[in-house]
Amino acid sequence: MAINKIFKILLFSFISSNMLLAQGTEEQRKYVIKDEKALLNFINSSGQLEGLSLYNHSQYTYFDLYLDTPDFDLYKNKLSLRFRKRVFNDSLVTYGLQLKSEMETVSSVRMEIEEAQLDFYRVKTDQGWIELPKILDIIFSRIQNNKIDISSKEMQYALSSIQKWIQLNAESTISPFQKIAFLKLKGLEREKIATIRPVLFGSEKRIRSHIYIDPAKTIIELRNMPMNSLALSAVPDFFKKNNTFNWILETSVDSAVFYSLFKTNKTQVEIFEFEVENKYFLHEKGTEIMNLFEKNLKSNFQMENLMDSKYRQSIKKFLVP
Amino acid sequence: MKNEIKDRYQAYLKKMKSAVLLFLFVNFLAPYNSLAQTERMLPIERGSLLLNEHPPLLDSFVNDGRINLKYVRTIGHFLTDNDITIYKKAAISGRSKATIRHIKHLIEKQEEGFQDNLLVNDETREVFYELYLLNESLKQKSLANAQTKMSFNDKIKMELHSIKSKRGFRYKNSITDHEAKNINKNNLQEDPKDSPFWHQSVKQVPLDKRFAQLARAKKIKAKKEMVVLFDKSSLSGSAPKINVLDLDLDNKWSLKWGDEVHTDVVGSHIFAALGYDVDHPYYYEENKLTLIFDELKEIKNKEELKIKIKEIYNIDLEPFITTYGTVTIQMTKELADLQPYVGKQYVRFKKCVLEARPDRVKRMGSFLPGMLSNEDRRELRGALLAHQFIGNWDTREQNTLLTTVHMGDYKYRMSAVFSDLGASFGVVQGIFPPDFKVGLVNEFPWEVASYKKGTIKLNSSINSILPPYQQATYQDLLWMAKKISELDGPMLRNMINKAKWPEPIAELYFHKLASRRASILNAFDLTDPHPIPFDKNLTIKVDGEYVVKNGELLIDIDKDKNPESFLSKKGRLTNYGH
Repeated sequence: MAINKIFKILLFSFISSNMLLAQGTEEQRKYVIKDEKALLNFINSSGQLEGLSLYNHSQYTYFDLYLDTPDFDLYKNKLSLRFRKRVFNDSLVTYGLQLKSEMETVSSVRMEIEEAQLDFYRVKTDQGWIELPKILDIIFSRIQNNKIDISSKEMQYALSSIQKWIQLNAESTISPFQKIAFLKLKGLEREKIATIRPVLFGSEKRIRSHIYIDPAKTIIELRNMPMNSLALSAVPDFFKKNNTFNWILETSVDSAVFYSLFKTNKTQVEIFEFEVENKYFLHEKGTEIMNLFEKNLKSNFQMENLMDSKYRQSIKKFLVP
Repeated sequence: MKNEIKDRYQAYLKKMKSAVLLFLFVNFLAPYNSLAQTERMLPIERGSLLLNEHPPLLDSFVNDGRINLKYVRTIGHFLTDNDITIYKKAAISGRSKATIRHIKHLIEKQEEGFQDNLLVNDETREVFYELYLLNESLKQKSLANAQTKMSFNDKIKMELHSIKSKRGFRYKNSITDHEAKNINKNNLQEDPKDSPFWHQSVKQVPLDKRFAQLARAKKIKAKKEMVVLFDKSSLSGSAPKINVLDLDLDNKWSLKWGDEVHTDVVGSHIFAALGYDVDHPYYYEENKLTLIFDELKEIKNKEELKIKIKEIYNIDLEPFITTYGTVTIQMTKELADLQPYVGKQYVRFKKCVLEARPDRVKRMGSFLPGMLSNEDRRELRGALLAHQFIGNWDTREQNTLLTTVHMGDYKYRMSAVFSDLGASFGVVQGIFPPDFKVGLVNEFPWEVASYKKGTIKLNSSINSILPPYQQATYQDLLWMAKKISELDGPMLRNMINKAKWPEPIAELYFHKLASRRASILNAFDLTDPHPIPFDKNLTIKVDGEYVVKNGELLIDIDKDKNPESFLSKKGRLTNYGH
């Protein structure tokens, strides 16, 4: 039995590492925030840490609808699947469906497969074909308006429409569904994908900052690092205006609240965490900077590493008897 | 009070000035501007892929008159699932994000049609054609990429086709059974519908500007002076080349040297003028292009570039190089684009061609000239005469390309490209030692078509008689001959000028192309709507010396500036004789 378990773990690790070598990965670290005030002061003042500068540039609002099978097989297989609506600085809006793996260690790379453009997907309803984002907005507007009544007719209509869309598209060319089918994980066989349905929804505010090297305010070891090399379309405006600044990392302070769509004793779960993402073109060098930044975060703001995704943290709390 | 009047007067003058400027703009400048704007804004639509008789291969898409969703999904997964990595032991390559997104749009339409229990119609069939072509093209590309070297059989085949084509293209004025069935008998040279393979001309865009119109649609921005960044070496083809990045890092280019730098430019312009989509090569004169090296890339300076080109293509790049070294502040004063690269290694050249690989265009495999009844398409059969006109020898399938063009706002169109048209304008081949050379004006015959005893004969050899060329009929070629007749003298000259050959050579090519055009029109007994005078005994003297005499180039003009030579028959496989 134990051998069987070890084999499964090894198999999963092997699959995960192969997935990570393929497209769709991100190197990200998460932290529990102990000294919230000090951190926010640091961010709001666009401060400096050991030769690394910070520029607080935006506030994003995300709305999420997490999905899983009735037996929580995605959760059991250390995966999360969500519809995400992103609102950038109260203007630009995008919708996506994302499949992500959990972190195996505090510094491991996560798989991320996204169906990035949902605008052309539609759901067939009694009222004809309706764009998928419009259905999602019925759910997300409840959060915006602070009307978390999941039993309302409107909400039930939206949830069943989403479920229907998943049933009909589980074998289609939607990237996260293709990936789940490819992984051949227990409880997530092809026919089980069609049973995936909404389980959690919520929103989060993200305070986003660039971490960069300003050659005029840094240490010798960092000053000579080659300039990040990215396609112009991927370079933030801040670095287009300040072309001597070297963009290395991206951070966000996330405060999120999630509501359950299944029966549970808790009404909501709140999460407050700090995320750092590697943006440097020489990935290993970027990891070194992440290590340096982490060392400073821990000593200045008493942060601790966190591995669980927001989905995993929420489900763990909701499933506590 | 005085001041107030003065201010009012000044304001009045200002208003009058604006009004006069507006009047001038509306009446004099705007008409020209709007012409340019129309040309710029005129969208290129995909057109239709439907043939009169649908290829039986598409039957699998249909189940009882409705969409066979299972089959659509199988094709959809192959085209979009990055976890499907192998086809017939070959690694699958070429699925770009944009292509995947486009295919998903097509698949989603079928998903909805299936849920609506829709009967298959022309709209759904358009998608079936496109999905099938994309699917087969991806397979073709994967298999072609797996075969790094040309096989002995392929070489033999090329030779045989070259010999056969020299003798075999003979046509009698007749109507084939196929034509009798498919073409309007009252209009045997009827234009095909616009399709991803060919587009009719439009009044607003002069024929010689169609290349530029295509480039604008693909957001290609070739500046007069270019700075590009080394990206990686290239292993494809036989002409020396490397892959470089535009300064925006979004767009890519292929930087090439050798004997195709002029010919590729004119060949592509002429094909575009005739209605085809093409690659976009731009010629750069001495020192007009600066290649910057990055110390983190595989090639870090001019010496390493030379070694790599020698290793891959066995060609010494040194004769093509002018200056090299480290970018200085002084250089940035002359060319602002160099500012971020002070201290980096650079190299400049005597001449080169930069071929666009724009972010808006995603390249799949070949456009499958022999599949899905493409050999029945008049626009592809007629292309044989276009190849003959420019004397293009390298007509292999791998020089055709299926692409997806992003038109903005996540809208895409499929487009078939005639790629690599540079092996033209006078080609010689050597067997011992194996070699070939292009762009030899003296080897470019004055005539390409002749009419004798009721038969038209074409004389330019091609190395691959693809199915549409094999199937081409008198009527198909007559159709293309009419398209060629629409090119007038100024257009021809404009297109030749893009190649920036030395003046006497450009002049000689102009006369030869005009003569070849006339030979085609005479053979097909067409009245020339735009007669272009030419002189087979063209003679040009420079500084009292004959450079061109009796229609023949006598002197290898500016040999130092043109290391590939316009007279020597030593080509890329013998290092251009260096």
